[in-house]
Amino acid sequence: MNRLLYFLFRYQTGLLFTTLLFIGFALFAFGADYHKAWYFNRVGKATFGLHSFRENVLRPGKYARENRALIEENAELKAMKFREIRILVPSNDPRAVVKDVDTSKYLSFHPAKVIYSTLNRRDNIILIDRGSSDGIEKHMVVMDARGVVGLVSKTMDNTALVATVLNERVQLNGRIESTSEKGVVQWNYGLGSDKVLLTEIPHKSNVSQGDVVSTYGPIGKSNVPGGIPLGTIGTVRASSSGNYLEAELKLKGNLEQLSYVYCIEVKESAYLEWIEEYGDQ
Amino acid sequence: MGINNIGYFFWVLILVLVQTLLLIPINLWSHGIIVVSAFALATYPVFWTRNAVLIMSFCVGIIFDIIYMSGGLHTIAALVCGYVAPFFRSSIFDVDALDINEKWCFVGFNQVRNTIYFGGVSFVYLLVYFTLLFFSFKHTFLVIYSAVLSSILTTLFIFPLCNFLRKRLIRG
Repeated sequence: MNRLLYFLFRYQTGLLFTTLLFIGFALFAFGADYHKAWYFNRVGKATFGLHSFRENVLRPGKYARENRALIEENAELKAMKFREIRILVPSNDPRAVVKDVDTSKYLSFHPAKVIYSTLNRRDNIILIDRGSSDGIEKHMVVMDARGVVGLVSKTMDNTALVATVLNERVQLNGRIESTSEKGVVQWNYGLGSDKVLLTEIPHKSNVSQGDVVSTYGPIGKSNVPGGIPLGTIGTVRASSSGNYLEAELKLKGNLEQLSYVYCIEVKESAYLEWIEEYGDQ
Repeated sequence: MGINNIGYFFWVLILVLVQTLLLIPINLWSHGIIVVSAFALATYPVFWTRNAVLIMSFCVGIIFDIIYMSGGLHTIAALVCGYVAPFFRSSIFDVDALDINEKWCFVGFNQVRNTIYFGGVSFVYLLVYFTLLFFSFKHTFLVIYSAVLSSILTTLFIFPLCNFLRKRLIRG
């Protein structure tokens, strides 16, 4: 017993360091993965509180309220602007295309303010000031004034975590507007903060520099509406396997200067009513 | 001694506020960030034991992890920093020869040594942070580049803070 106590006393600093380091690595293992709710549920409120405090100190009162009013008005205009949605049915099914209808019945835009964002990580995120109590749900697609920003990853009552397109774990379906060919949009760290990669483009494709790419239908559990701008094609090259082409996309959304974003809700019940009313088109 | 501890805790609180209010949006060339937690740790009172420094490092790391939503990255970096800071300090400064007023939160009067000390501690902190952040041998160059750039930026930022502390808090 004495020897044990002597050992503990002799190496107390090393043991304390090892114990605390072990706790640190446990936090790293459980907390660094944005998929896991464990960490976000515990620190989300504190992080939101700190960043809200910062936003209130730096951008107080009148201007913040005016900005909010303008952004809410803009959200309604945005919902009317979309003339095409692709949901519920397989994305290559013609029924998935809905044209010349008032899409505000099917899409709802929830404006939110970005209170924290990262750019230099492999799993970049943004934190917004709207949560489940404001109608924000997991897997919603998020866009800024120009294009797609990311997908909602976690929600709490008054805040939500968005995994941006600059996140190696996020994938989206993309469609080249000029050729209607599809591909998968994903990012890796080497591309920097303004580019993503469009992969799995058919080898015979006539894709060229400057072509516009937009979203194309749901991916995983995310009901992503079609037609939201993603970016424009930069360089095109053969993929490493040689079976497909891949192209660098210059992102439309400006992730370096985000202030307000829109979380897009797809109202599935309204869309089902539309299908019942009009049948197959 | 008591007032020194309270003074140090206030100092850390001020640095946390500075980080939260001013430094979070700073991101030069995607890789250059300023993190003052290493500075907060490096200024620990000289009469503290290494165990106290480790516990303080852990607490500071947790706070920065909450600010940055970074899992345990800052906690691990702060702990490593807290472990090596006493070695850095004893090898760069002659701690026993310092006046008691200088020991308030340890900023030696020699500017070159200050820069080496704070820059070195910041570099260790940021090197551990970026290594865990990228967590890949493929990004070794990026880790070193980010750590060097960020530690230079951090040192440039803390230099006037260090002077302020030296002039106002120590000399009165």
